[in-house]
Order: sequence, then structure tokens, then C-alpha cells
Amino acid sequence: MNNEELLAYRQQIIEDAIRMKKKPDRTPHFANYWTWKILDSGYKLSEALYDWDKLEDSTIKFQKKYGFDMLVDDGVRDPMQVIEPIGQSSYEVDDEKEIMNIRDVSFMSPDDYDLFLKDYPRFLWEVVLPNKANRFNSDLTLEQFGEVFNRFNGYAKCTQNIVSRLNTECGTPAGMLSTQSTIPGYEQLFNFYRGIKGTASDMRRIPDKFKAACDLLDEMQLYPALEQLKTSTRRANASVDFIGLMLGHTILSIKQWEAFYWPSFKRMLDAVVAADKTCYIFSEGSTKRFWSYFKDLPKGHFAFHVEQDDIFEFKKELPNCCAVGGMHASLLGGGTKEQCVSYAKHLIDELGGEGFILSQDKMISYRNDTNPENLKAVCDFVREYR
Amino acid sequence: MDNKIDITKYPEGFNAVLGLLTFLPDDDNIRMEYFMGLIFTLMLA
Repeated sequence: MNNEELLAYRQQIIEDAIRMKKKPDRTPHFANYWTWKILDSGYKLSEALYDWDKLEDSTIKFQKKYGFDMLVDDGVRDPMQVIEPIGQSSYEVDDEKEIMNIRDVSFMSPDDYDLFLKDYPRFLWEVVLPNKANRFNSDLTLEQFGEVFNRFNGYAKCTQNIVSRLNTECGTPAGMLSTQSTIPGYEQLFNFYRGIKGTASDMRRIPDKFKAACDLLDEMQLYPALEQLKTSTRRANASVDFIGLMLGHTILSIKQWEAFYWPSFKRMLDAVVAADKTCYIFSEGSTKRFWSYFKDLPKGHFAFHVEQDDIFEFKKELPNCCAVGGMHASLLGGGTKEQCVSYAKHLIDELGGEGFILSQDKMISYRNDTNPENLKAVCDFVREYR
Repeated sequence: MDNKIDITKYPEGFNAVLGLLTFLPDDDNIRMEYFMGLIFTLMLA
């Protein structure tokens, strides 16, 4: 197959796995690989994270070596270079230990919700930017701020190059970072503005303001995107039509889930179904306690990443959703080639057919998460196994 | 380029910064969308 044919083939097996109307020619394989790609390609983390060309190179090298059907991380997950002219990244990179740590930081206080709700652009300018970027102060010149735009344009170009090269040089469809996605209001507050502690506290102490902030963001961003979904046509290199993110559910009780999360998330799911689109829900941690909310979704629209839960149990409970995952990082990192291939075969034999996409059960970030030889053996096996 | 403006002031500093976006069409909606995309990216960093 040339790259054009390979792209079409990969798109078809992914579509078949999610639509569940016919068995795909073989089980698709998604790469849930993140900073591990940088290390595997021979760069230090800081080297690639601060050099667009090296970051692009590490992603392309990775895909040429392993040949996945889709890379969840097909762009720039850590745009640390963009903030550099006005502040510091929230990530700490340790090249010696080959790790990145993020601090749980809040960039607004509970008192700032009033401005948030009254004038959102002003809130971003007067509250978020000064808190996020420590050099955003009255000494900063327009020229210095202009460098942020240069970096942002470089970031966009790097993402574009990665997606384009994956497409033309590797026959690989678009991944999560380059597919249409809008982050729900709750997730933005959790991930960007209030952090884990702040979100948990606000939901208890000022639930009305917190909910109003979630709703405002959804009205501004999520719901218009869902409207567009009704009439949008699928991009030529797409793997799915839409991305849903479930990250901040991990701290929610059922009552909080129903109050702050589920209403807008359900609206997103309903929009996907109404438009007859496909959606990949990238979820972290355990989602098990929320599975019952997904039981009534019609079959053939959703691929759900199963991270910390048992994927066999997921398939039993939610046969209407395509399960993504199954391959344990602990096995890829600590097992033998034979054990890894044998487990991949077990997963495909038990779950393969329609409704299953093989992937890893965590965001693979650290060197010890995967032995490259194990990964190569699994990738080669999955491509050949029918 | 006027370097004397306090860019942290809203709306004057904000508007001056948006005025740097001359590489985009002269359309407030497009420039605001670009700005929102930038903020999103900064929050990921």
C-alpha cells in the first residue's frame, strides 16, 4: 500500500471498529504515547520541548518506527515555548530523571468569579495572565509581547507540519490534538483556572458561582461548536469527527457529576449522535462509577478510552461503545516480548471484531513505561494478525 | 511601536496587543478567536 491507500485503510478500520456494523479487517491500534516519543527518539525532554523541529522529528520518527493507526498525541501537548517570553511553564522538566512534573496551581481566586462572569476577556487579561505569566507586568513592552505571537505561530506551524507529515509520509489519520474538540467549562476550570484543590473547594463552598462559570464557558465555546458539528463535513485525513475529554471527573462524587459535569457532556454526546458522527472520548483514571450514564447511548458513535478500569468489564457493561485500550504499560515496560504479544493476542481474540481498538492503559510518558522492543513486537503483531 | 503603554491595563493594553495582529484580517471576531486560542495554549504550557 502507498501512503494514500494506507491512510484510507486505517480510516476504514477505525470507522468499522467504532460504527460496529461490520468487523474491521484487523484491530486498529492507537498510540497513547506522549513524552516517551521524545526519549525514544534520542532527545532530552528539554531539547525537544524547546525546539519545534526536534519535537516534529521525534513524532515522525516514532510513527515510522512503530506504525500505529492513529497517534493520540499528533501535535504539541506541551507548548512551553509559547509562554517563555512572558513567564514560566507550569511544568518542571528534569532531564536527568527524564520526567516532567506539573504543579497544581490556581490562576484565580474565588473572589474572581464575579469578574469572570461579568467580563470574561477582562478577567483573562487582568486576572489569569498576570497570575499565569510572571513577567506580564507594566514593564512588559508591546514588542516583548509580540514574541508570544511569534511563538504561538511557530507552535501552530509545528502542529500543522506534524499532522501533514503523518498524513503524507506515514499514511496516518489525524489524532486527538488535531481533531475538532472543545473542552467543556468544568474541564477548563479544573485544568486551567482553579486546579484540583480550587475546583473541589468551589464546588462545595460557592456551587452557584462555579456552575455559572461552567455554563458561561459552555455557552461561549462548547455549544457553538456542537451547532457547527451539525453541518460540518469530515476532514479528508480524519480518524473521528469529534473529541470528548474526560479528565476532571476523577474528583467528582455522583452528585457533583450530575450537577456540574453530566448536563453539558450529555449535550455533547447527543449532538454527536444527532449529527451521526463519531467521537473518541479520551478519559483518564477510572470512569467506572459513571458507566451507567453511558448505557443508553446508541451503538456506533463513541470510542471510549479505558485507562485504569478493566476493559473486559467495560465491554460487558457498555457493549454500545467501542473500547479503546487494554494494553498494560506495566507489561510493555516490564514484560518480555512474548508476554506482550501474547497479551495483545488475548485482547484481540476476546474483544476484537467490531467495538475494540487496542491502545495503552495510560499516557505513556516515562522511559520505563515501555521497552521499545516490546512495543515494536506488539505493533508488528497487530498489523499482521487477522 | 509604542513601548510606553502599560499593556496590563484593560482595555487599552489589551487593545494595543490585539493591534499587533496585523498578520490577521482586520476583523475583530477573527482576532478575538486567535486571542482565545493563544490563551488556551498558554494555559496548556
